[in-house]
Amino acid sequence: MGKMTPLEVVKYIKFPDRRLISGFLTINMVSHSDNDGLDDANQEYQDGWGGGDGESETSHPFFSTEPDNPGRNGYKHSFGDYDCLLFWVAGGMTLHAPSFSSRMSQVELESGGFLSASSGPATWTDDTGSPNDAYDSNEHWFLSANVVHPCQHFLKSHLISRINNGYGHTNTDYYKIPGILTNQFEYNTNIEADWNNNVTAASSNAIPSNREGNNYRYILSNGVFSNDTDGDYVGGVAGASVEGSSGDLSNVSNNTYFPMIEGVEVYGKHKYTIPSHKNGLSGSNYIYSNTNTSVGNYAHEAGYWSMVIKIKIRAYHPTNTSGQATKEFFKSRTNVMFQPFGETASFDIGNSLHAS
Amino acid sequence: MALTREERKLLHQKSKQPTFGSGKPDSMEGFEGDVSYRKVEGSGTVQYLKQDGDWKAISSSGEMPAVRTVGSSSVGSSGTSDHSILSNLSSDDHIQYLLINGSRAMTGDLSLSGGDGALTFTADNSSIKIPDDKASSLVIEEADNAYITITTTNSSEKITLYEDLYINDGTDDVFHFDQALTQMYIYDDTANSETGLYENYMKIQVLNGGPTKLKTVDADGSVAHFTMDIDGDIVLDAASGNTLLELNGTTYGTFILNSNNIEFDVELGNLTLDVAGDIYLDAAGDHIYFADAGDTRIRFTLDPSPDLKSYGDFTVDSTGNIILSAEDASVRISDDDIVYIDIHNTDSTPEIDVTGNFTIDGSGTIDIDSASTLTLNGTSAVNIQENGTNVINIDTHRYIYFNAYAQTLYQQYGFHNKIDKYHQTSGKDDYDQNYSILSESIVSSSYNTNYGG
Repeated sequence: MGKMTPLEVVKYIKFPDRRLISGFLTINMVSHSDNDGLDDANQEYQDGWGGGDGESETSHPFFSTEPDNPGRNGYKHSFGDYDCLLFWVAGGMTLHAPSFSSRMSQVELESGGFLSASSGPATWTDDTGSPNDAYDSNEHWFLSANVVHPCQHFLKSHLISRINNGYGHTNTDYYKIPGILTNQFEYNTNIEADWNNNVTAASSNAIPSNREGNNYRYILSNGVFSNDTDGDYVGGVAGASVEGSSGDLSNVSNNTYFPMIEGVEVYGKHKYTIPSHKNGLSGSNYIYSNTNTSVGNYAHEAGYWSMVIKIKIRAYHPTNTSGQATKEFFKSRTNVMFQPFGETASFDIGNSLHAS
Repeated sequence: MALTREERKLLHQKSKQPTFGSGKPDSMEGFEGDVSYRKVEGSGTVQYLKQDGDWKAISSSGEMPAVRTVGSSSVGSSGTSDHSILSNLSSDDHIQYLLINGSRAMTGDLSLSGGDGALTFTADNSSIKIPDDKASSLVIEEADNAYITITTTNSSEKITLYEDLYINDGTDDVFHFDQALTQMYIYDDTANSETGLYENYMKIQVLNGGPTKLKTVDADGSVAHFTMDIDGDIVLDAASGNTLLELNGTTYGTFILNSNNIEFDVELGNLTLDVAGDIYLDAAGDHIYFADAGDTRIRFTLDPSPDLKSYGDFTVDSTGNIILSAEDASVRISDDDIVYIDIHNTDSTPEIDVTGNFTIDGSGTIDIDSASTLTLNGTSAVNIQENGTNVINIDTHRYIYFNAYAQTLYQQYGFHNKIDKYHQTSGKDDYDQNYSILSESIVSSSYNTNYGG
C-alpha cells in the first residue's frame, strides 16, 4: 500500500519559438461550491467512516485508518478545503530541425543486429512494422549517435507561495499533502572567492547563516492566520477567544483541512515523432529515421511549442490501492491564471499538445 | 364660223325670253310656248302665248282685247319717220320705250346680247340693287341651273354659290372651294419646280358625318408648317371632349376633357416637356399627382407648406450628388406627421435630432470619418455592438463593460470584461513589451459522488 499516482489536469499553452517570457502562474483549487452545504472533507470522511464508502477510505491519505475527528461537524467548512499556489515562471523554448548524418546501409543495419539479412529481403529483428516487419530499402535509418535533436525548453518555475489549511494533521496514520519543491541557489557570502565555490551541493540542512549551494525546500504551506479577535472564526466570536476552538488557524493543529494539489509541473514540449527500431526484441540500441516508415512517420515542429502546466491532484482509485488514481475525493474547481510578460503575446490554450 | 357651245346656250336662253311689240303677233312668228307682250290700243299691254300655232291673249293691263283677227304687228299708218317733226314728245306716253334717264322702270326682262362691256357702269359708287325680303332676290343661272342665288329674306340674307369657287391672282388659281367635296384649297402661288403643278396648298375638308380636316402640303419637299397667329384666344372646343395629337394618322396623344377634368393621354411613346425656360405647375387644388396606370404613386401637396407623398417605396436615384438644402431651417424625416429625424442648424454646425430609437444598419462597412473630434454621446448609455450583441457598453456612471459583462458586483470598475481564457494583452510588438493575462477554470470530471452522502 502506498501513495497512488495522482490524477492530473494538464493544460497546454502554445508559444512561438524562442520567445522569452516570465510571469506569475496562479493556481487556485477549492472544494466545489456545490459542496457549500457540506462539512470539510476530513470531517465528512470521519463522520461517514465505515459507512460503506470504502473505495476512498482505503486510499491516501487515509489508508483505511479512520482520521481524527476534526471537531467541525456541522460547520459546513468545505470551503476550507483549498490549495492556492503562486509560481514565478520564466523561460521559453528554442526549436531547431534535428540533423541526421551517416545513413546506415543494409549491411550496417544487419551488422548492428537490426536486420535479419545484409542484402536482399530482410526483416526487422524487433519484429515491428506495419503491415509486417519487412525491411524497405527506401527508408533512411541513422544511429542514435548520428541524430542530433537540439530542441530545448528552458522553462523554470518557482513556487513563491502556497497557502492551504492542511498542514496540522497529527494523526500518524494520516498522510498530509506532499510539499512543492523550491530551490534556492545561494552563496554564503558574495565575495569573489565564493564565485569559484561549488554551489551545486544541496545544503538545506545547514543553518541559514552557513548554508550555500542549493537550499531546496518542499513547501507544504505558507501563510499567517490572524486570530485577531476582531476577525470572525469559530471560537473567535464577538471578540472572545474560546478555549479549544477549532477555528483559530494560527494554531497549527487546527489546520486539518484537505489540500488537494500534490504537485505542479511546468515544462515545454513540441510535436516530435521519430520512427525507431532496436536491435532485437530485447535490444537496447536504437536507430532512428527521418522518413515515413513502416513503424510510423517522422514529424517535427520547429515553429511553435506548448508550455505544459500539469496539476497533480490527490485522488484515489475505486478498487486499486496503488497505481494511477482516477477519482478526486470530492468535487473541486480550479482557476488557473498565467500573466506572461516578455517577447510574445501569442498564446493558445488547449487540452492537448498543439499539433497545428 | 360655227357657234360655240356658250353661244348656242346663250341663244337658246335668249330664245326663251319674252318678246315685245305692238299689236297682236303674227301667227307666223315665234314658236309654241313663246310669250310676247304687245301694246294693243284700247287694251294696254297684253300678254300673248303661242299655242296651237296661234297667239292667244292671256292677260292684259286693261281690257282684254276682243277676239279678233289682227294684222301685222305694225299698224299700218301714214306716220312720219322724222322724230324732229313729231309733236307732243314730252308727254311721254309711249311706255314701250326706256327713258335714258332711267326714270321709267322696266316692266319686263332685259336681255342683252353680251360681249365685252355688255353691262357697263361708268359712275363711281355704281351698284346693282335687288329686291328685299326675297328668297331668291337674285339668281345667276345657266339654263335654269342656278350658279349663284342671293337671298334677301330678312334675317336670312345670304349668297348661295352652287358651283366650285376659284380665286385667281391673274395667272393662277390661288383659291379653290370644291362644293362637291366640301373642301377648299389655298394654293402657294408657285408651281412645283419639278412637276409644274400647284401642289403646295392648305386644304380644309369637311366630310359628311366625318371629321373636318385641315391639311397642308408642300410637294417641293419643304416642311409644310402651319402657324396660327391669333390676335386673341385660341379655343379648342370639342364636344366629344377629345382633342387628339396624331402623327401620319396615328394618334399619340389625346386631350380628354370633361366638365371637371382635363386629361392628356399619351397613347404611344414617351412624353417630353422640353422647355427653354421654367415649367410651372400651378394647382389651385393644392395637389399634383403622379400616377402609374391610374394608381397614384406620388402626390405633391402645394399648400403654404408643400409636401411630397409617395404611395409605396420612394427612391431618389442620382448619378450625381443629392442635396437637401434647407435654408437656415431643418431637413426632417417624419412618419404620419411625427418628425423622427430632424437635421437642423444646416449651416456650419449641422445636428441630427432623432425621436425614438435610431439604428444605422449597413450591409457593408460604415465609416464615420471625422477630421476633428468624434464624440459618441449617449445620455443613458453608449453601446458598441457586433452583430447585435454589445461588445462595449458605457453606462451612466461611465463604467465600461466589454462583451456583455453582466455580473452583479458590490462596486463597479472602470473596465469590466466578460471573457474566456484570453483576458487582455498589451504590447509594442513581437519580442517587445508584451504583457498578457490568460486564465482557465477546471471543474472535476471524476470524483467521489458519495462525498457528503
